[in-house]
Amino acid sequence: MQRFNLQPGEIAMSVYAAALLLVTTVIIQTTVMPYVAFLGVKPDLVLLVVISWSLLRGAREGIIWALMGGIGLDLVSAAPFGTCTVILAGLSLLAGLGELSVFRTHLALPLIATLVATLIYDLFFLLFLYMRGCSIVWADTLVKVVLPSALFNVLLSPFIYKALFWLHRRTGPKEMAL
Amino acid sequence: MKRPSRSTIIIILIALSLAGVALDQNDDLQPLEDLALSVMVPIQEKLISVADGISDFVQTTQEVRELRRRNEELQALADSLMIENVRLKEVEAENETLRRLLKFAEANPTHSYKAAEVKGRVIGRDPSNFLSYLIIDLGSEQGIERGMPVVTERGLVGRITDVGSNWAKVMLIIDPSSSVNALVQSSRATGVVEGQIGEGLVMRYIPQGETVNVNDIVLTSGLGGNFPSKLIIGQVTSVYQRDIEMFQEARVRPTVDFSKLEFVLVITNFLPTEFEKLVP
Repeated sequence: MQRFNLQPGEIAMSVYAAALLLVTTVIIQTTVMPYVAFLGVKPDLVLLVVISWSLLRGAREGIIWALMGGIGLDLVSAAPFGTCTVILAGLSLLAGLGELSVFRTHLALPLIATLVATLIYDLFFLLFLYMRGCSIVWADTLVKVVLPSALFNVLLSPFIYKALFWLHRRTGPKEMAL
Repeated sequence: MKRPSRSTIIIILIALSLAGVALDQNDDLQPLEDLALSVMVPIQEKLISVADGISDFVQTTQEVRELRRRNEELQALADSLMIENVRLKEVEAENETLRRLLKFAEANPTHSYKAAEVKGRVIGRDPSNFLSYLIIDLGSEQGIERGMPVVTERGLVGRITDVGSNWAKVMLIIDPSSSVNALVQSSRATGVVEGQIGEGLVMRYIPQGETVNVNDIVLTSGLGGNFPSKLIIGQVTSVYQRDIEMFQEARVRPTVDFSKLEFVLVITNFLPTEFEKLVP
């Protein structure tokens, strides 16, 4: 089974398993999430998964997840192809820096990372739409969509991060006890 | 004391019986009957009540068993009726929707329609929070083409933007990329209805001097050739008019509830005019 480029002794999730997980996430995003939308805003599951995994496993694995998740989203979205992929890839690289942080196991890290990532993701997404000629009322969109979306994602992020942390412990290299 | 012989007892009993018969003829047996019954009745009552209790207990046990079985049967029946009821309500609702769509199609005979079931009932099947698209279960195999308008009996829904073999993407009129040439029904003032993120619809480019009032109905104007004329878009909820600006603006509430779309109609005999082909 194909695996990521690993250090000796390192165990990682297979690309196929990661792809399956991300495809499932995309399907949930497009089918279930509209039903849990609050005030017309739904959480970005793929973004949460990519950011959490990048924080846990670094940019090297994060970017692969970002590319797979981004392509999945672009395939089903009406946005120009590549929009989601490009933004997610950039964010995964940024979030990958969190892997080096001593606060990696602290719950505040995914919360802050999710907040910042959602704001960047949404603003870049809007920028792409604006460049396509879409009519965007920036202030209203920020207040009515971007901020509620960021809040929604932040509320969900501990659950996603915990779930992926479990997966990380099951599939990642063993950490040395001090 | 010497025990009486069997024959003696029989003779005594027969004699008592005959004596009883003889006394009964003259109603002389009444005091004896009273005495016997006065002793027997309370005992009988007690015995009957005990017997009734036992009988009731046995019967109750049987009844409980029977009731449980009956209850299970009735519960199963209630479950199946509830399921049937839900199914019938769904059929009724679907029937009602289709009837309204048919009525709408009959009232607008100039267009030909194909009914399509929207695969996702909720707006925003698009994964992002900023785009408003739906996917319907009709595609090129059913004669669907890009640009065809999509409506319900309540009004304009949007237009087809992408077509697969058996699916098509519908850009809703509330999508920020959408713009529809429109007019106000009462004053015939023209403008362009655009979708806005989180805002619904706004009608722009209404010339100054035109009268637009709250609650006015907004229809497609047919200008530009993207949509047929006279399709209902919505109702004006507020008007922004400032003398220093060239145009007025109006917020429009769509008549279609995009979050509850189940069925839509695709107008298949209308295709947008391609102006590039008209230019010599």
